[in-house]
Amino acid sequence: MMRSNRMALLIAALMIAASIGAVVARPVMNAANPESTFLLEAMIPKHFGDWREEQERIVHIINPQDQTLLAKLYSQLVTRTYVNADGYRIMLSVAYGSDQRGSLGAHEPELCYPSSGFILHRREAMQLTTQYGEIPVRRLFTSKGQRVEPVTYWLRIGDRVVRGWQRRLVELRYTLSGRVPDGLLFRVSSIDPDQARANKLQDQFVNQLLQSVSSTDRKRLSGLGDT
Amino acid sequence: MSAVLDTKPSRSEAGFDWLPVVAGLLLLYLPTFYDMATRSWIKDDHAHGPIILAVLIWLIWDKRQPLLDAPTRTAPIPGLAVLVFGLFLYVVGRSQEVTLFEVGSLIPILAGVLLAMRGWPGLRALWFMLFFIFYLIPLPGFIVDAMTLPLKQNVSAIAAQILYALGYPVAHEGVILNIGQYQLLVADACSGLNSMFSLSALGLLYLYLKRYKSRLHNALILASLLPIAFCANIVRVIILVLVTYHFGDAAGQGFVHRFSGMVLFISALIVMLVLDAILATFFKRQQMVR
Repeated sequence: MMRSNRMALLIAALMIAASIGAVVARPVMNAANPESTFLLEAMIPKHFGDWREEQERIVHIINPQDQTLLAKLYSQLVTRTYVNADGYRIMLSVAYGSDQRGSLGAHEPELCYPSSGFILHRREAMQLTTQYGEIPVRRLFTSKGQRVEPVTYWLRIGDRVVRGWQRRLVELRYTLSGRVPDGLLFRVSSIDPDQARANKLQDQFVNQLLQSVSSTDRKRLSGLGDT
Repeated sequence: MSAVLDTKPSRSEAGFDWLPVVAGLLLLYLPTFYDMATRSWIKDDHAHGPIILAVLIWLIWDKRQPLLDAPTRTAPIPGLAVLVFGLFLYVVGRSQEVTLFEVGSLIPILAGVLLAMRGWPGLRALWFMLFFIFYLIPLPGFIVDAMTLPLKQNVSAIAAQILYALGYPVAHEGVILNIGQYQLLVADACSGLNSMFSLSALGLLYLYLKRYKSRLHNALILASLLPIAFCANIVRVIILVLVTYHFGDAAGQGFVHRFSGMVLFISALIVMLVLDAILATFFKRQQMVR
């Protein structure tokens, strides 16, 4: 009987230690970038290079269900349509979430597009060249009925743009150092059956956008710049 | 005579040796369950959480006798090893907000405690309770994400085909159903993942309580749980589509929407019970022939 009591006390002691350990090991929220407060809406200029936000835009009907999910996943979301002098339209969608762990993480467009009824025809990984460095982007070639929509997107987690399994690696690195990684999903797309033209203009759009923002914001958007 | 007298005091004393352990468990998991009660259980997709917790507590209560009895031979070394592993999971899960680890750690922690306090017989007495803890863990996001979309697409495609065969003007693109002038989005909640989860939990509990001898009987019920839940969900989606088509959008999204989930879950449960009743008569007859 004595032995059983002693065992119980040992177990309780271990549990108390674990309980304290869990409190001590809790990371400080967003220790990564203390100046993390920024407004995406104000950060992305409405007019830059050849591009200007289209005011009378086509109304996108967002389903309420989608919206609650988005509100849950992203703390900030900007969706805009830009048009250049030739009347070419590019749709921009930037989503920012301050906590990318587990189920709070960004959903990749590979999932979003098919769930809205799009067919995903092709998926390519490539480097988008800018004057500040290369961004590892993905290009998707999607369509829904007559609407052909090439997409270029990237995902920044913490301090860099990641693709595929690198995302988990960066998340792990942050977790191990007791920080919470934030994340930003940058997506441009155009309704254009000519994929080569679409990608060329999307690249130009990205380049001009990155040139028109401050270096801090460039880092936030693309992970590019000195660390 | 003396043996009878001996067991009584030792039994109550053996009950007391659990007090520090219970206190330790409360210290670890009260914050966890408080967080879950205020964050995830209030959402529809985890509403089953408190019920599972209540079932778990009942399962322990049901097996209290082997726990209260004085230990005969404990297994301290494996017990402490499993416990320490569980506590490690808990620390990682609780501090990094990985619910999978935080709640999942209950399994090794309780298993370790049982081994250290009551040995292998103690663990064996509560194996089902330990297994049932799985249902307390919220499904991790990556599994939900991986399963929701294919389920939704299948549900939409099958519902559209059935409705088309019934002569309705219906078409589907991905998870969007077009019927008449309405465009309906098959939402995440309509994937049926939750009803599959709940029905399989209830089915397992039912089988555990029934204690059928026949392996085949158990296996047939187990194998039927998910298909029943899947079909029930398709029926539910079809009913909602038809209500919207015939009575308008307000009807389809209102009371009927919430109510349909409940009705279909109960119907699925009844289908399972009927199947069990049929199997039970069949297996009983087989036993009598033998």
